[in-house]
Amino acid sequence: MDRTREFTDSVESFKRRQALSSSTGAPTLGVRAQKPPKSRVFVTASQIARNLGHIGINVKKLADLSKTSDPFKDCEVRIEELSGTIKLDLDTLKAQIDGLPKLLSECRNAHSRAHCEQIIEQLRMRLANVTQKMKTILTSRSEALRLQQERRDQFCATTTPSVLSHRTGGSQPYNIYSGDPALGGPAAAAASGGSDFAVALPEDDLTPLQQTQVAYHASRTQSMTRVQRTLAEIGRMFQDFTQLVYSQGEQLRIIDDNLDHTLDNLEAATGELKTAQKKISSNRWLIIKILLIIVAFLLVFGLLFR
Amino acid sequence: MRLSAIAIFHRAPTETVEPDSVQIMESAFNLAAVPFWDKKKVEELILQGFRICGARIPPGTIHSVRYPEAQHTFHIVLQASGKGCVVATDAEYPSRSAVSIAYKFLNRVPGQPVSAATATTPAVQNLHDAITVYQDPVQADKISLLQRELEEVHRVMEENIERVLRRGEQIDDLIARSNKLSDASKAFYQRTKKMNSCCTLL
Repeated sequence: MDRTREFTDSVESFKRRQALSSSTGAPTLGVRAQKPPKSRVFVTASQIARNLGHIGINVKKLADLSKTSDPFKDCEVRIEELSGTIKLDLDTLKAQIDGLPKLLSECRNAHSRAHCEQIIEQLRMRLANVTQKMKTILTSRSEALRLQQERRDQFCATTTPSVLSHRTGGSQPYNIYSGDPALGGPAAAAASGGSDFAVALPEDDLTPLQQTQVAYHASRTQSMTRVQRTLAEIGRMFQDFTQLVYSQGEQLRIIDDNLDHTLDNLEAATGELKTAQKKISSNRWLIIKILLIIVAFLLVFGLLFR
Repeated sequence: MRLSAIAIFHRAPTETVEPDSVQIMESAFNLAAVPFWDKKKVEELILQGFRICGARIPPGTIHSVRYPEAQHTFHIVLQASGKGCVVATDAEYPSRSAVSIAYKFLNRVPGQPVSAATATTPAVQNLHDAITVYQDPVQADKISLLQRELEEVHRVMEENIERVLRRGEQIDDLIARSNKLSDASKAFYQRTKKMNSCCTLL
């Protein structure tokens, strides 16, 4: 609806009133006094609206930054700055909007008051929208950060230290020993002393009784390590064995191929020999015939020439 | 390396008691190496040694004591409840085996054999079996048994690898021979082919 005509009419009416008030004294003051408070509300309201617009733009920028999720760009700092400024602006605006109702009391007639209240309500709604958007962006950002951290943990998980494996190897006698729960405290202490055998063994200040305990567990640990070593060696030997057998299998295959070739060659050669034999055996007759013919020709020529 | 006696005893679980208050529940002896006239004396000495060791040891410990008068070493395990087992061996017998024998009898469940029969070890039902079977200290200690079997496997594998290496040499020889055979047969075939193509008359 085009209300510019109404606007120009109201402007002219104001001008007429001003011209009227310039001639009269006191009423103009009241009118004058009426205007500034109204315009003050509007001025602050317009300021707040402008600031809200700025904040909206900032929030959009923040949303874009947090959506990039490019691990190589250092958006963290910028995102933090931006969200801080947005928060501050939101707080100041909230304070200003809360301060607006005080200015309401300066509005004289009910219409302008209703109008102002409406404006304040609108501003509050816009502020609520912006804060809601800000909240969603922050939650999505924290979710993304959590996922990133999870992925990082997955790839950089710490491995179990090798000390643990030594511990399990050395504490085996302890476990076998602790299967006997009837024995009391000193034995358990000696067991732990025995499992730390590899670390230090201050034997001087031990009574013979304690020495026996320590020696018992130390001997068990030693034997277990020996068993482990033997087992590892046996494993290695099995592997070597398998490798040797495999390579020998390859060699056997080569031998087999050689023999196949030999067989082929021999068969072919015997075939050739058979044909040669046939040729030779069949040749005789041909030779005899040819010789007879030559002899015949010679005889004929000889008779002719005589 | 001999195992002479095993005994299970009871005593009060206090710190130390009088040797006479140690009650020997079960005992078994194997004094084959001792000459006939010394047998009784040695048995008495061993029992005395059992009593003294059982009395002086604080509960909840294991200990190995040399007792020169009886020419034996006593290995004792005394539980906190006052039940204990002591094994008399000579000086060479490994203490670990003796202590594990003691544990076996302390943890014995009545009705089941002390140690079940496996492929390599016979079953042990009571003290008398134990004395005969565990003359070989390796039988008593599972770790030593394991070590022995692993060493056996190791030896067998070494032998296997040696045999395989010899087999490898023989296979190399075979390869050379089969190569020569194949070459000879090829030459033979080529010769006959040449002969056939060239010699048409005889």
